[in-house]
Amino acid sequence: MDSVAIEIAQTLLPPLLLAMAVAWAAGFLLSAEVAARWRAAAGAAAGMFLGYALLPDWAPLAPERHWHWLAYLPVAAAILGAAIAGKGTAAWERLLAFAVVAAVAALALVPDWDSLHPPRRVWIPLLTGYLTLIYALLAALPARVRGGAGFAYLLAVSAFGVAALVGYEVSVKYGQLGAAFASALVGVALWAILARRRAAPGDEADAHTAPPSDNGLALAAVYAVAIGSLAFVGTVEPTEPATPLLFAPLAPMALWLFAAGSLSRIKPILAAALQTLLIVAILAAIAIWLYSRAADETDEWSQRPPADAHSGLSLARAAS
Amino acid sequence: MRFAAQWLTVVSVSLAMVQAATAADLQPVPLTGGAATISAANTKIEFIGTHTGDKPDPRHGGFRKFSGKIAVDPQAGAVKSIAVEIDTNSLFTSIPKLTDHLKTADFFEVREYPTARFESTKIAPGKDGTAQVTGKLTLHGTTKEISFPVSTQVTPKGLTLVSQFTIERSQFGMTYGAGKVDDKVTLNVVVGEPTSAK
Repeated sequence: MDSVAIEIAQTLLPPLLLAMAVAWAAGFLLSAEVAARWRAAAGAAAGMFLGYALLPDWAPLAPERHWHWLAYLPVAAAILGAAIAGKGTAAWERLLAFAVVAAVAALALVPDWDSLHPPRRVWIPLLTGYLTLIYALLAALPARVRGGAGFAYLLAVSAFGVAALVGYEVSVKYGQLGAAFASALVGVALWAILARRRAAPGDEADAHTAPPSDNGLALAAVYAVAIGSLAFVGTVEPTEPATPLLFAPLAPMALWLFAAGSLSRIKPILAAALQTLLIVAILAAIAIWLYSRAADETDEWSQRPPADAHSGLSLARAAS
Repeated sequence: MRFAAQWLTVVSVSLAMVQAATAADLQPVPLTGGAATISAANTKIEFIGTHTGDKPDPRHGGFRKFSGKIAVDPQAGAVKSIAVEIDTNSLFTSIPKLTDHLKTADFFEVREYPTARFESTKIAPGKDGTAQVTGKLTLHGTTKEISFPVSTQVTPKGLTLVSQFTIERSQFGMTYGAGKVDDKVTLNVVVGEPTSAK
């Protein structure tokens, strides 16, 4: 196995396995109702955190810079997201509570660079609103679309896409973090599939095996914070902000097409395939948008380096 | 990941660059008050990085915005001190995608660390216009002492200086890509040759 394959495995496997383990263990440690709310969100957040902690020394455990918070904020979102996912919490209360977490995320993530435009004081409310919007749109999806293994899987597809875009367009480091989270979501989805297969028809209330029918709300909170934050960090990092990245986390909103009408009545397998295709298509469109932006760049220093008859650069290039 | 590895930069020496910076090619930088004021208009600061493994695939880059002063003892014809400040956001390479990548958190992190600095602390003169310069390099938010040889020429027309040396990027917190991108980066400094095209 070459070093790249090993690195990919190191990035993806631990989050996946930990997410599965957390989702499985929740069934033993918590009551059925509580476990159903917590396990997917806790698994995804824990998986991402482990993925970050296992990264090489460019990822210090104690946050030193704004993007180091990317691993911590999903944990906060999981705790709050699961706490407010109960039936006794009204939708507006959930939104309000999530907005608080989003504001905390914005305070941690928006850098204090002099060169940041718009400035930090403007970005903080913008990012708070952006994260809250992602959560609101996902949380409001009808339960039949939002719940179950399919939701975690579809969020994983989107998260992998966002990670790839950020990794390609901005920083491989950031991309790896996103991939760790996406892999944790795959772990949650795999656990749900396994749990469903093991569940006998009469075992629906068994905390060990019951499908995560209402985990979607908490998972939406974790996804909004993890992937929305990643997209933001990737957007502001380049000196020319990569604004299209901010649209990438919104790809799962395509699921709204399946919330009503004829698409809501198609077979689950077909629905999953169409939903996957739609999310991938949206992300591909954003990739094309990003690519077309790069093609329009007129930075002559990048495209045409300073070379002349006396330049060591040109001589070295000719020699190499 | 594989694609990213292709763009990852950094290190190794090209003999052609040494040959390029011969004293005869250089345009002396005038001395004002015993010091030469350097910028991209009369000086170039370049870096070369390579990939690890059988295909080093060197990547060349530089900076188009920097300023500094080199104090000279005209009597002895020797350099007394060097101070340079580099705008890291002015980094360039021949490959736009690589330029963008080098500016990110994977390498220079120019938004967080927009300035790199060098300030000499000791200059030990050698023979035939050579000297060993020791000083503090601040790069990527980390300050380390480095030492490198320079070859200088002080004439009534001004100063020329040529230096080529290697730093280890990991010492400055640029640890990304270990195993794929060489830790050593060659720096090529030529005072008397502009960065910009003529």
